[in-house]
Amino acid sequence: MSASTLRRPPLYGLIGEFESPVALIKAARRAREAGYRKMDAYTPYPIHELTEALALPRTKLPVLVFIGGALGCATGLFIQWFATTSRSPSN
Amino acid sequence: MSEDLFPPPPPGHSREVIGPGHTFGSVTDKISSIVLTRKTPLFWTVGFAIGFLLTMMLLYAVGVLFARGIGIWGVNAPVGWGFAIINFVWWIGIGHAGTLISAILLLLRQEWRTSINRFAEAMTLFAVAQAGLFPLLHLGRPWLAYWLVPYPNTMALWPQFRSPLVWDVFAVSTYATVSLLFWYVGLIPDLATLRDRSRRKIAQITYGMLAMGWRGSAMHWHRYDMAYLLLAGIATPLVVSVHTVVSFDFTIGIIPGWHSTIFPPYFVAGAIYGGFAMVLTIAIPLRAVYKLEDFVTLRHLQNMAKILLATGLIVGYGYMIEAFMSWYSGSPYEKYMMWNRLTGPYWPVFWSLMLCNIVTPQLLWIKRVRSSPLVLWIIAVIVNVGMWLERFVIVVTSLHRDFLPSSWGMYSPTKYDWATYVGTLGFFVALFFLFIRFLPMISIFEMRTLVPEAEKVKETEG
Repeated sequence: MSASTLRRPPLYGLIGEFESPVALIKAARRAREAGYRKMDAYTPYPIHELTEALALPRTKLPVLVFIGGALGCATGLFIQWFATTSRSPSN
Repeated sequence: MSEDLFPPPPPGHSREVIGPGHTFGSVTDKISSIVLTRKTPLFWTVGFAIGFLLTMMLLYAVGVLFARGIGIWGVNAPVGWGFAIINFVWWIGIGHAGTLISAILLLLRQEWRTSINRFAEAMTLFAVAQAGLFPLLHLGRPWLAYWLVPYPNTMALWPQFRSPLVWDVFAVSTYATVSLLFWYVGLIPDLATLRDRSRRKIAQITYGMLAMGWRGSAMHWHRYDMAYLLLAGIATPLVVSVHTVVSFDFTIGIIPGWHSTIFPPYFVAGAIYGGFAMVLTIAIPLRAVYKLEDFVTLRHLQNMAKILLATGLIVGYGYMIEAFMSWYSGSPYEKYMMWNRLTGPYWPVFWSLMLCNIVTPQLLWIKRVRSSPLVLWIIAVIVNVGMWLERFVIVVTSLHRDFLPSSWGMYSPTKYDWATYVGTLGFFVALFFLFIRFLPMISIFEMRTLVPEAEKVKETEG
């Protein structure tokens, strides 16, 4: 290795621009096959094929929403029970 | 709503959900320019001015109401429900089409919903805002409206959960919250587009804050799609549940003409019917003024016309069963209620309703009618009027003559009733004009997915 390359800052990452969604997906697939894992792609609209091409992790969102929904449901039922039976029973 | 009902165009024919020759850039330019660069048309200024003036009239009518009480309205024993409840049901029904388009048609993968969902959702939001006003104004002491919310208080009083008024509070506030969230989440990528494209500092900052740091990364889109799908799943039951609760306001009363099990489905069908009529009423002038025929194509209008016809027939079936059951029940009060609707003092309202809601929409069987935006718009306006008359018939004719002839009476609205109703129409129009001026009225990023370039992905990847 020559002295000139050593003075350069270490490689942080690579960036590429693609003309069409098809080219982007192909590039993403190739990069993953080549062993790259820390990847992201920026697109003006959702391209579902990229999720698989970039091997993105599954989102925990559905679990969080379910917990939120269950808590909300339990709170609602509790308020109704509390208000109508224990606090002010309307026979 | 299967594929056969709304057939896609034959192969070789240009895709009809978007005009030919569009690219990612042209779609973005065309929609964002309405907000960012294009000169505000005279149509906007005049429309907003009218809406604003009527909003001022609403404020005046509500001010007088607060000062003098609901005695300024025409409501009195026996008709205690009058315009406030008619307008409440009418407005909340209108919202349902927006939710159906944005949630149910999304889950059913109806691609044609893409260009109409944004403003249909805005319509939902603004219609729910008008609807929410009426039960509050009708309370008598509207400044105590917060008593309807369960909270610990020094009086140790809790809401009566057996009262439909309390059900309304929860149904409508849930509906408003979910509609707002759905609309806002749908806007986020487009707000980022506006942030990136606007040239003025204040617009960049405002859109930038609202876009919440959207960068369009694949991870963003991945989570976004899931969030949007979950919201659609949450909104879907609301299409059915909200108007069901509204119909319970009537059905749990023992008044003839109200105490009926058909009300929930009949109300929901009526809500979607009236809502689609309102979407058409808004969409047809908008696409003409802003030259959006490429995005809101004839296929969109035809599909909505078909839904209008289908839901109109369900509503007609509801009317028929209502009449049949009043006879079949053998109850003299039910029988009289129906006879009174047909021939009593409010007969002109009943027969106008039949003309508007049952007879006129039959024109939609004809393809030439469905293909003519002007005729379609006139029919949609007539259906809007018809749906309002329907609620008038249900509320007033049932209450004004029930069991005891000694307690019969008549109802007629006062000028304050009209000022409040027309005022909410103006408020709705004003809000809608602000929306089309400051936010993209068609979803930009969803339109990009319809561009031929984006379609190639599907072809190559299977």
